[in-house]
Amino acid sequence: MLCDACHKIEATIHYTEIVGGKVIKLNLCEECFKKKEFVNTPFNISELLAGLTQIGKDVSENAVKCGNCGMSFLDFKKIGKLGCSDCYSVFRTHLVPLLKTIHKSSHHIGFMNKSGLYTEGKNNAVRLETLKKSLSEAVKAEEFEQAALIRDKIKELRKKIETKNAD
Amino acid sequence: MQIETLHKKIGDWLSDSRKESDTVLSSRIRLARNLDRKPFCHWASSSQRKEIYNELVGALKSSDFCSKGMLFLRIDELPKVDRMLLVERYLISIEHSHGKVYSGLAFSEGEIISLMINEEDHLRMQVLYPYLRLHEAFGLSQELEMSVSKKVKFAANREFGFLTSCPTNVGTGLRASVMVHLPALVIDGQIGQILQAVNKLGLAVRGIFGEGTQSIGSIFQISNQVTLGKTEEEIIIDVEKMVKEVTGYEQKAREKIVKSRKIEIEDKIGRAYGVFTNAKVLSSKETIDLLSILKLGIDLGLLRSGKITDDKINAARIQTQPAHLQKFAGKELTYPERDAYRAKVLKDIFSRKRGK
Repeated sequence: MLCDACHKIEATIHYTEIVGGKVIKLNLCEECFKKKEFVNTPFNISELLAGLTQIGKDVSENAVKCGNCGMSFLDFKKIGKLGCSDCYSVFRTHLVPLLKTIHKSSHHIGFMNKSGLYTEGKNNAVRLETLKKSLSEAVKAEEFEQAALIRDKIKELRKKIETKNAD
Repeated sequence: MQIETLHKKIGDWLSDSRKESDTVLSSRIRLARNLDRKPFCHWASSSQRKEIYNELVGALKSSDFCSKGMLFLRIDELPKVDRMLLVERYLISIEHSHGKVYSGLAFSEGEIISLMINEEDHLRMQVLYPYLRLHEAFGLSQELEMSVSKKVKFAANREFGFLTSCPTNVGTGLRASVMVHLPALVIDGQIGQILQAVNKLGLAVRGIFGEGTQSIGSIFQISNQVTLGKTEEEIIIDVEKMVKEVTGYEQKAREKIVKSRKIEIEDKIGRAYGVFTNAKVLSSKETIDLLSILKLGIDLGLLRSGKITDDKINAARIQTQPAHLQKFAGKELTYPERDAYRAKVLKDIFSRKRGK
């Protein structure tokens, strides 16, 4: 059996990928296998967008451009990637249904650093939980030096949270 | 630390001898971040990529985290064999190894931390730990991100969280993935069913397996797909739960095959050992397959030779890949030469006396 990619060399690697419920089977030679990009993109953004925007069918939409990086909506539909962080605001109305399809949500509820807007109180609570779990993992792994470091961080963070609460 | 000698050892995340798990090999956390308002990598011109590169390298070098003992490299200035070497060591992605202009990498001494600059996103921070230690790995990645975010402004907004070049990574920018070794499920033929079930539950499974149900190496990666609308903790716990469930099935399958097919399994293990100590030509596919059987032999206590350890198996898996072989040989090798050299390296590893 010849390689599915180069059709020249005998395929020695039989690769199967299951993403988004689809089974993809490939027979590749070693060289092409090395070249294959094992990225996790179960969604074809361009296809999804085409499906989602057909309802409007408004051609003028395609010309809408991001003032910061110059990417148009048509560019985004073709490439499937945004041009810069401002694009998220510029194409927001199209992104919300797209994100709901991909993530079943369109709202971030996780961590935010100071460039974001979540309160530090929430960050600290999340961080404390993470540190506690790290501590038990480190202890289990008998990495006591690491555990001691984590313990100190927990102490420090607890103090921070307490003084915050006292304010 | 330098790239010239990198091939001689294996990363700390692979050489942990505590053996916390027979089935979980390693945990990986990746955070994707971008600079605010700077064009994403695929949309940036060469001069913009340079600006981004310089800003990030400057920030990384001055942050308290990365100032100590990190090696900084320009991928696009490395010879091809070195780029492949970094891929084989899981330090960069295949995409990054193509070496577009101003592609950067910084990694820590034991290869636990790896930072890719100008890959799909401006900065991708990866933490690799042995066994199932996602929380610990995430803790470290968060320390990193907070230390870097003191120096640069990451793109983020209240609604969508951290903004990434591809909408599939937006929000947390987090990918938590765990590498598992599931040889008994493959031998017992249950693997397809299990992987499909994992997939239905919204997690991705990637793996390399052979024609039909026969697998190559029986190694799979379980990771999250959703990055938005869940907290980091929730994402990690989902992946962790799934890993525990799947490896639980693997343990049951191991008990089952040892009971019902012991001679067959022992035969496979003995043959694998025989091949490694005697073969003159070995392809990478056959090597990965046989290493998986040997590892199962260790885990089940069915391997006669006490000389073979998990460390040796891991070293063999990493160091018999093409770029590693060529580094050891000190020259470029053709395909037939590689297979012969691979057999020689493996014979060396497995005939060596204990403790070396």
